[in-house]
Amino acid sequence: MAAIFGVLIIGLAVMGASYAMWTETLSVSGTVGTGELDAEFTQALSSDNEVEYDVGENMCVLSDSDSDGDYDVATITLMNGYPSFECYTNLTIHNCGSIPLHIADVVINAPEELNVTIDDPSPVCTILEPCETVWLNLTTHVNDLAEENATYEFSATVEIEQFNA
Amino acid sequence: MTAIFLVSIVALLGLSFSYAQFGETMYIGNPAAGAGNTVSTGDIDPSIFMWFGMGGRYTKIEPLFAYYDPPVQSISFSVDNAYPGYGSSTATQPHKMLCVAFVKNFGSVPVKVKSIDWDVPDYVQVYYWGGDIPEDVLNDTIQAINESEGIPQARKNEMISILVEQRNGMHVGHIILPGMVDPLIFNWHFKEDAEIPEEANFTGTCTVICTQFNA
Repeated sequence: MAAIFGVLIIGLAVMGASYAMWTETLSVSGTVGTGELDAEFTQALSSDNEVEYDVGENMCVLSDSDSDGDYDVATITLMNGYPSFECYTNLTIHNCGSIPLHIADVVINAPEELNVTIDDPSPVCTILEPCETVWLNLTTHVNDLAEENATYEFSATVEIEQFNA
Repeated sequence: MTAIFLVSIVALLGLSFSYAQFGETMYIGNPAAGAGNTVSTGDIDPSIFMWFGMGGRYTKIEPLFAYYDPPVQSISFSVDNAYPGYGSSTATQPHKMLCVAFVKNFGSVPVKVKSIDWDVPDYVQVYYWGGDIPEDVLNDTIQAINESEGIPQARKNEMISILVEQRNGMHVGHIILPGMVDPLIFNWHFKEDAEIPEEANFTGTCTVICTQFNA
């Protein structure tokens, strides 16, 4: 009896082997290296509208706020201003990334005592190839609403997008 | 089945790259980073800091001299015992009269003299020496300052040096640079042929309006 049971077990094992499936695994893996969208200010020039009397002062200093090696902040300072004093700031925007960039917008936030404008030609909507530069020229005008011995702050942001956004 | 699953993962990764957008923001002034753009304005502050008034033999001007610290925007002086003909000379007794108000721009922005207006009775003729000071007026003034009693010598020297160096009196359109002094030199002549009330008083005024230089 025990012998018959053993033969059945072996027979079932042989049948089981005959019903097993072969398997093969295929895999596809891809390595993607992305580019870099990066821009920096490379030049900052300042001048003003004073001819005969050199009273007001202005300067523009570039700095690296995120320590990535690029100047991403331009700080403009006007001193001893007065109504009709104008400061001209010329900045170069440099594409230091590896893909073209699109200057989507320049958003200016200034109090009513100041007129901060972008001079023509505006770099907004410009597409820069890597390593290319474009000028961003700002005029800061102190208007008649300005008080004596006052301090006003303004800011502007340059929104950069990838070229195909 | 396993192979199909892996291929799908790779496809999804590819899709996610294609829909992402890279962005970069550059700042012109970034207050959040403590680097805001600032515009600080200056000021105009023309003020009177010194006064010299020279009277005649019979008519006196008060004060003879005054130094204002802090400087002022308004001063007053009195002419006592005036008469027809007084002020006909800036140097010769007995009718001599000459006043100088020293105006300094204590501000940081140049100022322009926009207007000089006098309000005096009809019987008073105003002369003021704007622009180049005539040599005789300059000499007379310097002599009068030197001969005046009761004025500290240092102040005499200060007044004389201002007059000699600048040789220029305040006039409309003149620009006073920060830190510079502009003397308002004037004389009141009580006309000889006018009806001048005896023992009367009047207050004459001179209003000087200054604006920023580029107004």
